[in-house]
Amino acid sequence: MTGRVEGKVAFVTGAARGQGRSHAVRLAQEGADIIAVDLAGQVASVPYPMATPEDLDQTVKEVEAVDRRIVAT
Amino acid sequence: MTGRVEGKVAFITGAARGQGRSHAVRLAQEGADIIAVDLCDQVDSVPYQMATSEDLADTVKQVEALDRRIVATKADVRDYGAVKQALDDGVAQLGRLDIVSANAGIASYGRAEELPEQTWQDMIDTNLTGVWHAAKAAIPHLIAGGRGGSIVLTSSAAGLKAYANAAHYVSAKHGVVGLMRTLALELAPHMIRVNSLHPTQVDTDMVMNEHTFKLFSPDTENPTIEDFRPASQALNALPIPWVEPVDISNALLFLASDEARYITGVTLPIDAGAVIK
Repeated sequence: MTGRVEGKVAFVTGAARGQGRSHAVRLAQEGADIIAVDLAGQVASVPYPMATPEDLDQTVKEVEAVDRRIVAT
Repeated sequence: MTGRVEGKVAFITGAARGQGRSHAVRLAQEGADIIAVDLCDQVDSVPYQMATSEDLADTVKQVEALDRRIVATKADVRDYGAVKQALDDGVAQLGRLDIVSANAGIASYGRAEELPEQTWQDMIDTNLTGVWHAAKAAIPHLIAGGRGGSIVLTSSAAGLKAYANAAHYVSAKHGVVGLMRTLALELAPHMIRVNSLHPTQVDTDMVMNEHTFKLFSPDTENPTIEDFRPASQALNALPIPWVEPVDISNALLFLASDEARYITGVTLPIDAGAVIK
């Protein structure tokens, strides 16, 4: 079974958690490798806690768990 | 491997050939059984040869080749009673209804002030009222099923923008958008989603005929597909002359599947960028 984006490479911004992580994992499930970036830090004017380097690490783990490559920065 | 619409039943109008046949086959590939109707006859105001009973029989063969069931009936979408009878029979045989593709449509051409009244009426009766008939017949089955559902109305790029020489077609296809939005609102409490498809020119018999070629190359004596190709491409933003039936079927499949479970009220162009041009 060939994935729906088999062999393609996807660039995902905001990939540490939330929709971005979901995008990375869903595309990886369908055969894509991932280039991920995230601020992984706080913006002072944003009231809720933003994503962390640990969140981005978790995205890396989840993509690698479906045997796709990921370059996360 | 479970299909993307495994175990569902889809009702498709205009299923004898073209986009309708492609929809039937694509949904069957992903696990759906099919209830198909087609007029299988000519409408006098339509200039090209319409589908035949042999075409519908071929759709049946192609679906059965995928080990899916299909109930196919010759029925006119202009006749509500005939649509309802065919659908009720299909649901009785296949046991449920989940997906509706109101796809049946015709094309004819002429300036607004020159269109014969019957040409206008045939267009509205088929491309707008026929769509409503399909929805009207299906909605009680979808509600009774209690599992939600997906109704997909085939409009056109001409449902979102004007094209000269097709006032009746453009009017009917715009009307489909109003119907889609109203149905989406009315049926949302039942988790029944309603969306519309907006193709540019599709490689089917409705488009690929001498009448369309002449419309696009009025100054050429006997225009061919090679004259039509650049004229058709000029409508699109992407550098392609037309799309294929499967491109529309893949959009239908997405909207019909649970992947689109919270998508309703959307006008989805499959138009190579025609609407933004």
